[in-house]
Order: sequence, then structure tokens, then C-alpha cells
Amino acid sequence: MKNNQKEQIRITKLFLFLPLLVVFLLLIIPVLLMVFYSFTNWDGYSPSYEFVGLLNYHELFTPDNMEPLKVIIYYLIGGIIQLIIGTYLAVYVFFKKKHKALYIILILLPVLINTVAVGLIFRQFLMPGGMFDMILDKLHLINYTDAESSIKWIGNSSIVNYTLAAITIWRFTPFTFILIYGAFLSVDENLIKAAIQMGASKYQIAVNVLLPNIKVTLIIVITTLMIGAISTVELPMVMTGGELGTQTIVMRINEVAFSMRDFGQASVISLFVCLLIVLIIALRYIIGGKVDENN
Amino acid sequence: MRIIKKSIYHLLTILWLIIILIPLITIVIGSFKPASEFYSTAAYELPKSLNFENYYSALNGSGLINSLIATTILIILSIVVTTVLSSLVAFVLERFDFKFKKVITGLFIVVSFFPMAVMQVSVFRVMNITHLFNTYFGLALIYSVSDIVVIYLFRDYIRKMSTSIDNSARIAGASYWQIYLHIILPSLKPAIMIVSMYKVITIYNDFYMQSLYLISHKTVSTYLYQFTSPYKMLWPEISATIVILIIPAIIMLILIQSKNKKILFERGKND
Repeated sequence: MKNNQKEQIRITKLFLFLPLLVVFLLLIIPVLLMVFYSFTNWDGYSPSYEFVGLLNYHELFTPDNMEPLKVIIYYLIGGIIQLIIGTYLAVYVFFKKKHKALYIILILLPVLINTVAVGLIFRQFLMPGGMFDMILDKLHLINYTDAESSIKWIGNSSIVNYTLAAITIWRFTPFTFILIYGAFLSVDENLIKAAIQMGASKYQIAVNVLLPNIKVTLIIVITTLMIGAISTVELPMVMTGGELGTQTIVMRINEVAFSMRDFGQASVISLFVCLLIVLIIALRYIIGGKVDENN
Repeated sequence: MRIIKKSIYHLLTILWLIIILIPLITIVIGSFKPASEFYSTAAYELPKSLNFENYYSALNGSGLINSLIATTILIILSIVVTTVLSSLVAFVLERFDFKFKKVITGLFIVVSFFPMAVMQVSVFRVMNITHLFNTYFGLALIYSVSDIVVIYLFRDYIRKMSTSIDNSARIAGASYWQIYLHIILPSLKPAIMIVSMYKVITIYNDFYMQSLYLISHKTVSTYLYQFTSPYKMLWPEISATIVILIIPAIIMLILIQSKNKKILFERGKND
């Protein structure tokens, strides 16, 4: 047995070596580096830099950083709408008797399309005089005459953030749907049968049986949507390149670091966003744990 | 009243399906129109004839095919790296007792909180120093680290396996390495399947990391991104390219759907 113990320790060291190395290299060292950079004026390039104390921290809430932070609000609202639509569709498919598979495939379709392709699809769909304008024109919601006078869904700074948030809804509602639908399937069948026998309507079953039984999943979905909103970067990158006030906070970090070459400032913003996300995940564990206990 | 309620219930879903499909239909229509027709007719007008010209030019040259190959390499490598790293950790944490077990368990939990996407300022630096920048392997490592929660999935599967198999293998003279390779790893197959599906979807869809860390190989995402420059807006050809890319995805979904019918989608017949 003694020998066994020794062998186990040897194997433990051997097996953990590589994973720990990777985690240190790509997660722990970067975090420490960020903290270090945040006190310097390093440009990410030259060998020399100076310590500037808390200067970078003082500059965190300048308007140039606040604007990208505010853009997150559009995506948070988009997240709430995703949650509503996703839940609705999950309930609908759950009670659907025929063609369930077809509905699921159709609903999941947007997830299967590459992010950049989604950007391109909507640039074409929303271009002046494109399909969307034509549909609205046919429905007499707008009066399309020519490209100049049209509503520029992507080219107008007072609309573009709503447009982008709407595309995120189109794109990510399937994720919300599949998570919630999957959770519905794990709800005890007998509960639902009993509810049906008592003459409960679909609405009543959804509100009183299904949703209360998937609280943990709902918490995960909600926090994931929040984190997704905060770290939005790809869609605005593809659609507008961050122009017209669509720059998100992650895009701002990249701009400060790689274009403005101010790694100190970029590190401070990164740390701030990291902190936000870590807080949300911590909240998920605390609330999730409490809900779990109560069940 | 009941009928109105009921029809609204169905109409909302149909409305959502229409919203999903219309942008896609627009692309399909556009992909069959030659450039001259594309710009002179309205977007909802069906193409005059079934013209595959755009598809030829989309497939012309090696760009699209090469990008598909690059993305496939990246996905396979990421699945392997994630499986190896996570299963090693899961095996040791689940089966052995050692001095710093709690510390290491805690460490993996804490680092799973770190949002990789917002840490590029310093990750980029590390990638440069270690020469992992601009390599498939480097990017696969980044994907693995950002999906570190896979360890918990693997641990759950290993926990459900009785230790008596390990013990009897041990008595029969098998080394722990053999136990890992021949008993643990095969039993993780369903979990590895889940991870693979997840990786296919996330990596195929990822643009951000690939644009930062894989410069010299164009993946599907970075290949498509070239089309977004305003000087290269060849909509008919772009449409055809996108349609070509959507088709395999749909086939894959239908395959997964029919295979997992019983596991994933079929319960709920209780009504």
C-alpha cells in the first residue's frame, strides 16, 4: 500500500503538470501582468516604462470609457428580450405534439450561422432599399423612395445600437431557448401529468410547474446573458467596426491597448470589466446555491 | 376569447419563425442573381433564372476551401487539447488524495471565473513571448483554458464510475497510466461527445480570438471578414458563399437531431 501511495503522488505530479502550466501561463500570469501594467505607462512596445501610481485608475471613468460602457445597456435590454422569447418558444415547443423536431431545427437555425456571416446577412438585409425596407414599405410602415432619404438602419448613429441589439436577439435567442427547453425536459413528468389531470392550462403549467422547477437553469441563463452583453464585441466589429457610437467596452480596451498604445489604461479597463464579470459569476453561485438548498 | 388567445399563442411562434427565415431567404434569393440583376431588381423579386454563376465564383480559388480546412484543424486540435488537459485533472482530483488537493481544486474553480475575452491586453503579451502567437496550437490552448469548466463535466462522469474497476485493474498489475488510458478515457466518451459538439459550435462561430491570434491562416470567420471591407462588397458572391457555408451546418443539425432524438428532444410526450 505504501508503494501505491508513492505511485499516486508521482502520477498526480505528472498529470497535473501540463494543465497547471497552461493555466498559469494563460490565466494567472496575464491577470498579474494586467495588475502590474495598470500602474505603469507602458506602450506595449518599448523596453522602458515608468510607474505612474494610480493615474490610470483616475482616468477610468472618463467620457471616452463611459460611452462604450453605456452601449452595454442596449445589449442588456436585448438579453431580457431574448429571455422572454426563448422562454416562450421553449414552452411552445414543450407542449407541441406534432413536428417538434422541425420546430427545434428552425428555431436553432441562427446559431449555426457563422458570426461574421450573420453580420454580412444583416448588412445586406438592412441596406437602404434592401429587403427590410421593401417589407416595411409594402406594409405601409415607411414610405421608401430612394436610398438617400431612407432610414439607414446601420448608418444612423441614433438607430444603429438598437439595430445591433435586435440582431443579437435574432442570433442568440436559440441559445436561451435550448437551455430552457432542455431544463423543461428534466422536470419530473408526474408533476406535469398531475397538473394536466387537475385541468391546468398550458399557461398555468408553465408558470406554476415548469418555471419554478428550473430556477437554477434560469439563474445560469440570466447571468450568461449579462456576461454576454458586457463582453459583446464581434457583431459591432463586423457591422460597423465600432463607428457611429457602437464601440463596446471590449473594443475600447483593444483600441486603447493596440491603437493608442496605452497598456496601463487598457489594463485598468480590463480589470474593471473582469471584476464586473467575476461579481456576476459569484452572484450566480450564491443565488444558485440558495435555490438549490430550498429545493 | 379562448380562440383568440389560442391563435395569438400560435401566431407569435409563426411570427418568430418568419423573423428567423426572412433574412436567410433574402440571402438565398440574392445568391442566384447575377450582379447586374442583383442591383437592378428589388430584393424580394425572385431571380429570373436559376443562375449558379455566383456559386462558381465563390468556389473559385482556394480561399473558401482553405478556410474550411483551417477551421476544421482548429476544431479537432481544440477537442484533443481540451480532452487531454481536462481529463488528466479530472482523473487525479476525483481518484487520488494528496496534500494540496483542496488548493488545486479551488484554483481551478477560481480561474474558471476569469473572462478570457477581456484579458487580451496581457494574454497577447504571453502568447508573443511563448511563440504561441499565430499557431493553431496556441489558439487551441486559449480555447481550452476558456472552457476550463469541462473539468467538472469530466469529474461528474468519473465519479459515477465505480472505483472497484480501478482497484481490480490495479491488483492485476495495471499502472495508473494504463487505467487512465484504458478505463477512464473510454468511459468519458459521452462527455467528450458533448464537449466536441460544443467546440464545433463555439469555434466555428468565433471571430474575435481568431482575428487576434491566427493571422496567417484564414479561418471561415476571418475569411468572411475580408468581405466586410467597403471596397469589396460583392453582394451576389457573398450571398453564395454564405449559402454554401450554411448548408453543411443544417445537415449537421439534422443529423445530431435525429441521433439524439431520444436523449434530447423526445420527452415531453406526456401531454
